Amino acid sequence: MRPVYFNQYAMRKMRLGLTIFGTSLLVFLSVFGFYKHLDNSSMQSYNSMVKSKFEVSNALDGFERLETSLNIWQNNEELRNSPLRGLNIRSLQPMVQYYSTKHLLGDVKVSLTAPELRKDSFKNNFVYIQYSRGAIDFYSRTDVDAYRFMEDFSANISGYLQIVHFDITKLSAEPHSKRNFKTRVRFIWQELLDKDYAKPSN
Amino acid sequence: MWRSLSSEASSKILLLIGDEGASVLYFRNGTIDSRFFLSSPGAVNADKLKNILREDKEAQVYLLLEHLDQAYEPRMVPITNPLGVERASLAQLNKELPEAYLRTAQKIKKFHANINRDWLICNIYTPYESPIANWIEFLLPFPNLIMGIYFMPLEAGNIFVSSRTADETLEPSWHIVIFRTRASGYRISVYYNDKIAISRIINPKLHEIPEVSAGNLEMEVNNTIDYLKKTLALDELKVSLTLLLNDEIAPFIRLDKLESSSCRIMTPAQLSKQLGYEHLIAETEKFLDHLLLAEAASKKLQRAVHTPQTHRQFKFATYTFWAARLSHLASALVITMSLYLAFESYGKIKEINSYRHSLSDYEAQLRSVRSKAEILRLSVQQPINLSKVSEIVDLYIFLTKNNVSPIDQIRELGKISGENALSAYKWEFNDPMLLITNGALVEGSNIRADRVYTLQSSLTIPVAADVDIKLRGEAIRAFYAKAFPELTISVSNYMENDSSLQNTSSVIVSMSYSPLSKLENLEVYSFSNKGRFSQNHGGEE
Repeated sequence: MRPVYFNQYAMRKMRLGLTIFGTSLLVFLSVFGFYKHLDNSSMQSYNSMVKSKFEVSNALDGFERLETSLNIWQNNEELRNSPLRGLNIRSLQPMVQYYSTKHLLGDVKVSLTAPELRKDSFKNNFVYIQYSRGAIDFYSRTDVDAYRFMEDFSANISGYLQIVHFDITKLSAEPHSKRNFKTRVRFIWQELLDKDYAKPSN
Repeated sequence: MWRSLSSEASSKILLLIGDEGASVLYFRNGTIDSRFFLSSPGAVNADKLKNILREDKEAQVYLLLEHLDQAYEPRMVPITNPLGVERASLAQLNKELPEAYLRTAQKIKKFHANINRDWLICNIYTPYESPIANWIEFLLPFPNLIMGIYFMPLEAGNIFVSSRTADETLEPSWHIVIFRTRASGYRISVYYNDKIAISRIINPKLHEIPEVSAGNLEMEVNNTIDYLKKTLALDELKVSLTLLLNDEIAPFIRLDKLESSSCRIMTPAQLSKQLGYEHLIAETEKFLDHLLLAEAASKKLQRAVHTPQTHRQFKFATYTFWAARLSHLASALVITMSLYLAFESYGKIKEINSYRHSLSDYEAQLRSVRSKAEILRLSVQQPINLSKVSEIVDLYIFLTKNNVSPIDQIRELGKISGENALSAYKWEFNDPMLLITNGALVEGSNIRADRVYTLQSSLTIPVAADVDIKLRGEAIRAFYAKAFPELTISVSNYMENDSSLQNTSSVIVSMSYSPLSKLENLEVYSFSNKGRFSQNHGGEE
């Protein structure tokens, strides 16, 4: 039996309100579900796009590097023919002797540190850089002799020479003296070394 | 809350319950649909009311009490807080009366004549028994909501006040009204402004002989005024009088016998017209029932009382009503949020399309680059390890990049100085075997390193005694500035007499170079533990 406080008017209002609310809630949940689905899709699309962009960037970078490398490689005969055997220390002494005689130098002294491998952050999948620090001290008749000697030395040494200190001082101005100028040069000598070649010795 | 609920109803059923029966008025869509009188709930024509209740289930029911057995009791209440006056009076009434009584209280005025400044209150109550109980039991089985039970004399205060003309609304404030209903008979009520003070049914037999009835009414009025004076402890009291009587009795009222200060006599029909109900009451009508009900339907009623059963029903309806209202509000909110999300979804769809479009562009670019790379690989005629070549070239670039040499400077120096022209030359290049700076990337290479260095050189050029040293110094500076635009060049005159070189003066040329100024975006790390760099300049510390 219906309770005494049951009221048709109130119940109709309640039913109507609940129906509207239920419907609107259903609509909201549907829209929310759809929105979440779109949000996920959007995130996935964004990630795919970023990944693809990164791949394009990497591919472009690699392609440009490859193109540059090949270009340099094909146009640089010296580099192409480099034996990648590291510092050729044995060839240094005859070369110094030859050019010091040519430029009338006196008391030429050459010193080198033991060759080392650079431990910088190079990838070194195939090739190392081998280096040695060195110094040349000599006397010359004129300053021009000293410059020319250094020009020849730099041009003919194998590998890569970086002068870090060059000091020339005038001692006298005697016309026939070989000791008018004293020169001291410090340098770093570097050369490429094939990793496979370096293995047996290391 | 009650008003909100009430205002929702488009139809109302009002019952004026008296000892003789109940007058019924059915108010539908703002107009009076039907009106009739029922002698009892079990009367033959009660089916008419039952049909209305069955057909219009949403019609709200208002019960107005106009029976004999209701008491109006003026009382002084010593209360300081005006808001608690009625509550205190009701609490007192609850102690005095049994539970089965309907009761309420209405404050009338603050009584200044009393030294204690008490409030004058009217306690109103009636036992819950026949005829009220009969009608409630009759109505409860129907689905219609009983909005409340009202004391008609109390609610009528509003009606009679609104019927007064502008002049009558002035002093005096005490007002006696006599009217007649079919449900109960003659009733005399005393109001202070619109607040009920006293009310009672006059002997029901009054109406049988008009002259006698008129005399009795005069006596009742005078007795009531006397009673009021005694209750209020006043010698003089100004009272206005309204007699709502039909033409049978009104002519026999002797105004000079009345103690009231003013008096007006109106027929129910005249009052009906005055209140705007042209055809509600006929000219010969004696009773005021339907006019009172019509006014009650259109006005805000003041005080509802409930039986426990009607109270439960009303509370349930009220809660349901507000729950429905809240659900409407919540629905509006939810719909708004849905619209917002729909709008956002539209934005997301556009976003996804944009991403997909970009993705297809990138994929096309990727295919193009890969195809170019493949063509490049195929173009290499010799079988070589491209990765190894790439590494060798990277290292080559690294070693040759920024590989500066003093030879260039020396060569230029020779051009202007001539052989044996300078006395000293010093050239410093900060160690190129610098530790690698993490942020720098060698151009065109995968090697993350750079040579951050500074270059300092100076030379001393002797100047002959007969040459203007300043002009010579300026010429040398201009020459070097042109030859080495990237260098910072300064010239100072060195005036010391050097006897060994047989010169009297020299020009010192200082040159410096810092490629860091060209690498503003380079992130140079400090290696203070090794004493190599400072972060600001990248030079040797």
